[in-house]
Amino acid sequence: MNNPSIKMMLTGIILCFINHLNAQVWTAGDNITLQVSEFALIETNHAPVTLTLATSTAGAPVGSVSNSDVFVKISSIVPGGTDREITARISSGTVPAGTQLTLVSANCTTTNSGGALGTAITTPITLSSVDQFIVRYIATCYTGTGYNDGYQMTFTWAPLNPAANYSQIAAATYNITVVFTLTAHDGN
Amino acid sequence: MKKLFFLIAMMGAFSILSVNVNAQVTSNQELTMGIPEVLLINAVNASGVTGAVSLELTTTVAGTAISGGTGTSYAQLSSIVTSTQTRKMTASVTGVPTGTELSVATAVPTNANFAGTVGTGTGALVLGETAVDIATGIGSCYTGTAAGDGYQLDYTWDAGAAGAYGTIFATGATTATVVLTLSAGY
Repeated sequence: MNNPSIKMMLTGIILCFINHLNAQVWTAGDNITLQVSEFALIETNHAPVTLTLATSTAGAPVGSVSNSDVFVKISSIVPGGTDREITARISSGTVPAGTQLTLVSANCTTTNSGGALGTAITTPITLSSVDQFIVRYIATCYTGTGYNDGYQMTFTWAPLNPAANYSQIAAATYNITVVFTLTAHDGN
Repeated sequence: MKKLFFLIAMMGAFSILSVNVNAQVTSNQELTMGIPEVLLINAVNASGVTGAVSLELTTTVAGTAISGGTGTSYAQLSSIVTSTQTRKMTASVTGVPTGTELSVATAVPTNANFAGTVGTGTGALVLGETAVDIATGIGSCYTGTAAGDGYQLDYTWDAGAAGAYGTIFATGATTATVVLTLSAGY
């Protein structure tokens, strides 16, 4: 080992080995697919809604009554250039004879929301068993998840053309279920 | 190699994130809607306000009995009944001077301000301390609240039975009170 030739040889081997390590480069090529799928979720805050028709003036008809406690929350992802709607209909129960139940949505609250939240239709719809638009042009967005986040819904219950129908109004309690639908995007 | 493992792991993660959700989704909301029974009644004079109806018995023809005590008021009411009920309106009176009679004829509303089932009125009925039916078959209805709205109550005050004429005495203003009642459903 004290032979200078052997030392030089070993040094040469070690250098070659080091050079070899430096020359080794680990690479990998691959295509990465990043996918954000169409996505739709809807939920209400399930606020209890109780409406009562009454009057306190002799000779006067029962007046209309409104409730704005319900907020509809959504999360939506759509393909580019498409949008969704929120619709509403009565899925169970019947609006009492001689009365009508209307619904109108406000635009989405802004505190905790983001994205293309669409536009509420300002004319109240008369609820029936058929889906009707209440918010349109919803694209990719979220409304927030708080109790008062989302689209505020106003239900209004009133006598319907009382001059003709008032005698049909009967004292009772009626239970109605309204179903909100976040539609498939219009590219489907 | 570690980079490769990292990239593969990232691809797996994106694959998990791309799970599809239904294209159309729904949420239900329950509504409880109540219509309680309503029965409200208010008596107003021809001007549409609460006030006494003044009646006077007199005559200007010698040899005739006193007469001419007539006046009108209106009973305005709001009623909501169940699907199997109707109501009735009754009237009774206290304070009618001795020897005289107070009667009332009841006409159901006819103007444009009422709606619903207002039932049927009655012709002239002599009022006493015992309530009598002056309108029946009242369902869900309202009469309106303006002057002239409501059930028209035409009061007639005159001498009673001929045999009691001697018990009539001149008096200043006395007050007779008519009690109108809108019954519970029956």
